[in-house]
Amino acid sequence: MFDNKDKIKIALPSKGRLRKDLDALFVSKNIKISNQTEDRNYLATIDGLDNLLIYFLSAKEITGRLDEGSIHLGLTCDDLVQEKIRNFDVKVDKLLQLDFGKADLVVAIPNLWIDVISMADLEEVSNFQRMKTSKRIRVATKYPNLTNSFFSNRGVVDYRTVESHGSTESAPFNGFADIITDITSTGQTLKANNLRVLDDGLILQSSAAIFKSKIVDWNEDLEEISRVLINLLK
Amino acid sequence: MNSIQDINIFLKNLFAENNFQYVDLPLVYNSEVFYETSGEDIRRRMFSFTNNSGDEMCLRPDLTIPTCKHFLENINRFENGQLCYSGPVFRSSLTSTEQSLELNQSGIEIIYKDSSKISNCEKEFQAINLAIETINQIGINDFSIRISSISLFNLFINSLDLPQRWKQRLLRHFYRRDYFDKLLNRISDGVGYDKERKSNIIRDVFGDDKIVNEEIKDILLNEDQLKTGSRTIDEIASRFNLKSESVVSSKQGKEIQKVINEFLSLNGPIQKIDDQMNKFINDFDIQRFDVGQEMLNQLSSNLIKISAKPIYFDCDFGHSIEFYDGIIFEITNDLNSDVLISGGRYDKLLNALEDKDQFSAVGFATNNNNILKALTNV
Repeated sequence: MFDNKDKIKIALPSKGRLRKDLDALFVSKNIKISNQTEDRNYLATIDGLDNLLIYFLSAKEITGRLDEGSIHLGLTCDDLVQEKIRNFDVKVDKLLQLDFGKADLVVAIPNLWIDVISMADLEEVSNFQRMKTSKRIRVATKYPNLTNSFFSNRGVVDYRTVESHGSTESAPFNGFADIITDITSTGQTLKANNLRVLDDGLILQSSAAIFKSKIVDWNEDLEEISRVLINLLK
Repeated sequence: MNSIQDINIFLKNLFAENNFQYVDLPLVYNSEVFYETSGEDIRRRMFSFTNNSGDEMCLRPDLTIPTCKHFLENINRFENGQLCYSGPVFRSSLTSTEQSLELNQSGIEIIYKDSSKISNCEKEFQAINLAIETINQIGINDFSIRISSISLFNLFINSLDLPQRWKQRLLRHFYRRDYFDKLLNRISDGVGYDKERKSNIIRDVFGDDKIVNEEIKDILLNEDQLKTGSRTIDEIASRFNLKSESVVSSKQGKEIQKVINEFLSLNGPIQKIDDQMNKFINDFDIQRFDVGQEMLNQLSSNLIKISAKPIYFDCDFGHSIEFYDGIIFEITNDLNSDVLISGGRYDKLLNALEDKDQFSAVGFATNNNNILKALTNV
């Protein structure tokens, strides 16, 4: 095993679109990664940067590790950080916003609801439904926390969130929910599914970023390595 | 009295002497009852957890809802509809700096059938009298009474020249101060679908300019019905037409915003509030508010008799307090402005728990943590 005590631990995405974009970033900045284990590339270092250990994890897990403070730095996305980490502004700092992994979290309704264009309309329609049927409108989402705080800041209270784990965009038409909040990058999927984003329905603009965990212990040496790494990536 | 427990017990006995039946309520509830009555918003305030069968349970964030629920489930046991409680409620902090609380409350609820629905405020005065008596018995001498009436605000909003849906929207959100201000700002920009907005949305949704002048219902009937999701075409079309009919221009909107803010700024000793209101009505030429004027007049003449202590009427009070819908009142400690008692009428909350809207309710709760602070600082 390594002696990891004085090393800075950084977690990077292990697969998917984020990993590809990250690899491209490394290539463009001329950063070389060496794998430390033979068969699996889940642990690595950067050539020329001693005292730095890379773990390859899923973005979701990276977010969790930042939250509990078992890594110093992590690459993940704003939406995951703000959804999964309670009081995220106390627990993490964003060190570097990256130019990939971009997506918007938005409120979308069936396109044919032509009387609804704003959150205020949605508030009224949901209240109307509550009065008429004593049922609350259901919002299918993978992001219940961000949805709740966005809705409550905009006066919408007569709703329930229904947690969704995939194909959220079909929920309003198969009866599982009335409307949705979901991630979109071009809006094409929503459009193809007969959904329309509300005029003021942008909950969050998200992209990939390097976050620093404030829960873990830092010292001057570790701060310095972190600064060097961020400068390399800038 | 030098502990929370002493105060809890003292108040429980005091209320019992005044003919209120004590109810001992569970600490843990199924979260559903709070969501159904208070909405998703209360989630942030609750300590909740999942039990082994997967139900979401919570520590009670409030005692009024459990008390009302208990009453409705055991109506025969409470003939006079007068209940009281005493004990802790649990509120989670909203920010990382604010502390989560175990807050101790004692309170009374008066639940009754009010077939007339035109209240002479008899029960409210009973509650206010007992609230003042409570503070006197505890031995706090320097306190103030603040009072307002959500019904008065309702009558005022209804007297304005504003589309019905906007009136209801303002009334619904009166207690959410920030959002209420946002709504006023929206009104000042003008509301409803004017011609331009109407053709924009039709073009956006159907991608066709030519159909702008067709009946919206006919346009929708040409579409695949599945695409309307959970709402019916009638529902969508009638609300669309309503929005197109009730248009408020930006100029009208700005006047409405001003007059509402002026109304909310009215406040003062109960002896002077009628004169202030009359002046406001004359200055702004408010029409169709006679019932409100009469209501305030009756209220103030009754309140003057109630207490030797000064009572302040404040139209803005209630602007950030949820769930009341008639008279609301608050007793504060003059030395540090801590709230000692708050209460009022809350028919809608009670009605959300029952099948048919047959009961009315008035009540108040003491803040025993603040009472202890007042007593131990003396």
